[in-house]
Amino acid sequence: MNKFLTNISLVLTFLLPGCQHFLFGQQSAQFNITIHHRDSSTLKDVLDKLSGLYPVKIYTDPALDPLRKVGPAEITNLPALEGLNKLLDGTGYIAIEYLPYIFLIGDESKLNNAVFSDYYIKKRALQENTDEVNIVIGRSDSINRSGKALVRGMLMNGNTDSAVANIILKFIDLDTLVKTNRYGLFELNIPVGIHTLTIEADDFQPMQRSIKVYSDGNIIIKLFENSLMLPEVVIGGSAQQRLENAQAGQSMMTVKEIKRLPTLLGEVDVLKALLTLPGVSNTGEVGSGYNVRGGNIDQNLILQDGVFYLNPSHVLGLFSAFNPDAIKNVTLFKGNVPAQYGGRTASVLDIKLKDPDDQKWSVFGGIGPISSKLFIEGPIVKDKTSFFVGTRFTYSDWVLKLVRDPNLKSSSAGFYDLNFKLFHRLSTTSTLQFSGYQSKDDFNYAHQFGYGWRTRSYSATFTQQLKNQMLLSGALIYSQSKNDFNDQTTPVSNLLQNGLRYYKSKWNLAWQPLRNHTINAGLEAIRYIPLPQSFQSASGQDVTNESVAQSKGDEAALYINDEFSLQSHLKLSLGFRFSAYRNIGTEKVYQYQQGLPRTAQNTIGSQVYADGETIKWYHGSEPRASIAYLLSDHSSVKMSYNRLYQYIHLISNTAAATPVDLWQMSNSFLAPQRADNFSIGFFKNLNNNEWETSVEVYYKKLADLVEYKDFAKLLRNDHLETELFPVKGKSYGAELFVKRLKNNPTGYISYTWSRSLRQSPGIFPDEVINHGNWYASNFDKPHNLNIVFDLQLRKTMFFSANFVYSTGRPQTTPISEFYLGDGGIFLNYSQRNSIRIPDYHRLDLSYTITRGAIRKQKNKGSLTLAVYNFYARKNAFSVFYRRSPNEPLVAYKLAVLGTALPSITYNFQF
Amino acid sequence: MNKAVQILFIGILFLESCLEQFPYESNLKSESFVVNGGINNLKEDQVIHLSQTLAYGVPPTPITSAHVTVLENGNKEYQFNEGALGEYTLSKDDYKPMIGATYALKIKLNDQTYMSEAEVLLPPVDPDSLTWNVGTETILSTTGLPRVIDKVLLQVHTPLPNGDKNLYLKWDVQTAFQFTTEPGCNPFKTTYTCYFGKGLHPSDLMIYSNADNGLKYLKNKQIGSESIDPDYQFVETHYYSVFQHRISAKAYDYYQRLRLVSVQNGTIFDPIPASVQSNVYNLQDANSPVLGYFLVSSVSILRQRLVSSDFIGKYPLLSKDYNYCGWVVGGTAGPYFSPCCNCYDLPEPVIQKPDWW
Repeated sequence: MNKFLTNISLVLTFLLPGCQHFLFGQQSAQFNITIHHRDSSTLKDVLDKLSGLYPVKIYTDPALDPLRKVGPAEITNLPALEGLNKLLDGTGYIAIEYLPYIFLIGDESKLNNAVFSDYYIKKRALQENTDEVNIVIGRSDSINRSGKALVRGMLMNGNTDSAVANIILKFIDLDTLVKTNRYGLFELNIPVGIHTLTIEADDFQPMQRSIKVYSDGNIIIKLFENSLMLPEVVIGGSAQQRLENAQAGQSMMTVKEIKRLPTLLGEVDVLKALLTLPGVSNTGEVGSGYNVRGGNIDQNLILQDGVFYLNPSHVLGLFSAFNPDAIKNVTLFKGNVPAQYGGRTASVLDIKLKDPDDQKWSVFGGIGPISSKLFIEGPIVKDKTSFFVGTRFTYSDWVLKLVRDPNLKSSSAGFYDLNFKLFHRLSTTSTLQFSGYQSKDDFNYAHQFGYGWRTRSYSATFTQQLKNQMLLSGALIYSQSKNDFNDQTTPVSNLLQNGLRYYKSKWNLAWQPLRNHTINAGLEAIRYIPLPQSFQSASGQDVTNESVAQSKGDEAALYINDEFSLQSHLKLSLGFRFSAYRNIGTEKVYQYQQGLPRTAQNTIGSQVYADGETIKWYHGSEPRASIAYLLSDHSSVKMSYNRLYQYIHLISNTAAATPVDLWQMSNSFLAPQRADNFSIGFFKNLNNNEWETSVEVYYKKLADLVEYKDFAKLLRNDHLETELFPVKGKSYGAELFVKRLKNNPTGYISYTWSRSLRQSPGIFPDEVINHGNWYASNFDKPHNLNIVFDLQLRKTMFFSANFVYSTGRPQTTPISEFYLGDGGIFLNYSQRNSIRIPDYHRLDLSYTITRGAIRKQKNKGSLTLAVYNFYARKNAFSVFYRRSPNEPLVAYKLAVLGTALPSITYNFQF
Repeated sequence: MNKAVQILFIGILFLESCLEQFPYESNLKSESFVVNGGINNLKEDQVIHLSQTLAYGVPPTPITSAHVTVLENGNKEYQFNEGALGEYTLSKDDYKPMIGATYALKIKLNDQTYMSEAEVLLPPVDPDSLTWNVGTETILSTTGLPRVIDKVLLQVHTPLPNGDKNLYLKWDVQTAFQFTTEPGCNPFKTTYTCYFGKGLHPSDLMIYSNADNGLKYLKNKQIGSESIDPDYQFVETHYYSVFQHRISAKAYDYYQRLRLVSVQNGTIFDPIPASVQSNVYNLQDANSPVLGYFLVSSVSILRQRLVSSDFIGKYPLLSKDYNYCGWVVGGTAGPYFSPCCNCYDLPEPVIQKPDWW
């Protein structure tokens, strides 16, 4: 071991139940002491001797008599506190451990009085929260006069005792980062005092510690690998970060919560985890996407390494399209959206892919009942070039083959996705990386009909560390989504295809002029090229091809975002984004008679625009502001306002969005959506960040939302604009969040009360919904409750539970029947969304056993037994009405997952 | 697309989806004026039914004392006469519609006037032939479970006029059968025959447009199906009468919408249902709800006659020339089946013996 290590005076290891393991370079409160003196000594002598032998600080009550005699003592290798109290036997004094390494001695009654009333609270917290261990650097009696201390350290893998390179250590309160070098070493000058250190690194359990710095010193920090081979996925940061962060409306989870949530059929799912957070919901177990604070699903920008995805789901929404193995961290902005992001009006989900390991090879994967996954990463050239490739794929067809129905036997269903990343270090200050994503979903029913969709995305990203704390990054992105629907059940078989591709470039300059001051500025440009909707019908030898062109567009934005602290208790994030959009040819734009409803019949002409010719311009200023005011170390108030524009719209008029829906760019008739978001929240952490609580209220004002005429014909419609009209919207709500982050058990409760309403201001009957009154959106679910419970049974076993409750979603319902034709009875439906389907609730459980994670074993594995929908509630996805021949009308409730779904999943790593 | 199968598909794929009946009660009121009827080129009485809906589960009430007329080409007005409750008839003796003329319905009720949009009576499109076979179909049973049933499937074959890309067709199918009582069953009554008939189920509402593909010949278009169970309807003569309507684009759109709300499956692909807008409007109050459609159509009729021997090779259970009631002399008596003695016991709508039988 190198010279650095020889400076370390003492190393103690704590094995903390349930999670972190930690190694540091000073004695802790749990050391043992040995002291022998045969004669009576004064208390002062004994304490001086102890302080000399051990790096502890002992405070005595001023009223204490330092010359009081202490009897002879033979204390051999006793825990410090126990030894101290044995020393004090007969003196009338006792010792208590105030904080690690700090002991108080005085009258028992005095120690129990109000002066030390928080002692027991702290002590209990420390005892119960054994991973809350402070690090002490330097000696308390030799504080550096400069007020600063040089801290040197080494980061090690606690499982293998090897150095961990290229990991960032964050001192939250200082806003200071330091990165370990290739030998795992780091060095920095920091102010003397108590600071909070966090480390979040791929494959390791995240760590947060309070670190006390007296003077120069050295530390060794050991990170321990995840006890599960499931990926590290971090949503948000530490509790203290969340409290102090200037960004209002950031929903956050810890890594443990995501990977420990009970899963559906063994698939760890970031999007499903999001649904347990306040303000995030969806329309049911199937359906693409999710809704944030009353927004449509198309109002969420879902980024994966800068690439935005239009369809974030597999299997009609049952599984996320994102491979958790490849994910480094995830951040959800649902309140204030920093100016670096734009183009959607409700939220941003920023998924960062991990950097491939450039030191060692790893292979890990999982085997589940209907799908498996495999992930490989490693260096191509050590310290320079590395890669990962990960895939997930289904083999669900075997389930269909078991079914007796011949139609189902001849059906097929499946998906796969593939992630890869190639990372290359150009120099010590610059990197280049290429990443790609590809996925394919297919459903086919008995050669009668089928759906399919596929996504392909590629990106190249360059980063260059500049002088003066500046980081330049640039990305070039290409992405394409295609979907198709085929119908072979009629005499004429049909195939309908549509999709969208886009090219994107984004350049960002991040500058940190001061410790608490970060400026991001940049520009972004996107060209959207929707694929023409192609339609092919075939009847015998007759084949007809047809295509409907879609609007193309260019979107560009300039932005600047400044995040800074005015005082230690006031943090601001101020941003400004200017976005512009132009709808471009080639396109045929119809003109309609003014003063009449926009219908195909009222077309008075058309104009054809040449390729690239500008048809329509839109632009908008998007101010963003978020303020966090720290009321104390444990509480803060945050407020935010931001305006956002959206130039791309999901055209979907089904019960829930499907992957085969159409994406439409703004054009002459479809103005960009606009949102003004207001939110205010109170955040309070309790008991030394053991508990995190918050209350947030929000109000959103929405304009130019896309609404659909009744029975809108959205596909293969050359006059699509005649089926759409703009409405305004508002959503508001209150979100409560209580989370226990430490100790055992952990978990959280999130409750959201919210409304999401729409209003049609139109004058033509087809464009008026519910007589122009406010009506509930399809995803207006006023009450949402999530309870997540996580119990560590042993170091290698844990149990998790997840309970979900929400109000049933709105639906349009029959209100009468009428006769038509020759006795046919038909239904007359109510105004839009006038009733609600039954409420939704579900309990999921999981039990996981791991091996190899705690011990230094190379091969590791975990076995997860999970039950989704434990009490087999038949939650309604929808209620619909059918009449069988000669039968009265019957209402049916469709439950997509109407029973308990057990699964066994094995994850491995070697 | 046969959407019913989507439920099965998605259900099995996800291992366990389920459907179950849902106790639905609505306290929402619905007072809508309903117009049902139209003008066609058949040499029959033209009939309009008027009614009003009240609420879910409450049958519509007939509307009486309305003044109903039809405007031909916007200038000639013919009055319907009120007959049965809510039924207004224009006798075939008094009036004969003309191909190419426009027709609009006008209704005066109390101080309100309702008017339909005018539609042209287009030339009929005559089908070539009507064929049938036996197949299966998966339906939802009343318990919510999918059930595979045997059905007679009807296909029409129709030439579509050249050059007319926007052709809209609608089919109504009526079924009729006879059942004859057994000799000797009722010593006080000689054997006799009952006739039964009905329209097919609304979910079988069949429409077609070649606007999307410009087809010139529509082949094997399934336009109706009927369950073979109960099979007593096939032991003697069974008729299918297919009425092929040529309708307007507006009417096609109306029936398309009606079909969409009639075949909801509850899946994510279901369109959001809504009240289907009639082509009849209240002139005093545009927001006054009106249901139904005043249909102007030219009709061609095809009939298919079936007897049990036609099922040979198609459906063995029916292909035997057996005596349904089992009262064969010297044979074994089957279970008591009361219609064998009184065919009016059958739970089917009774009709007069049709002229075309």
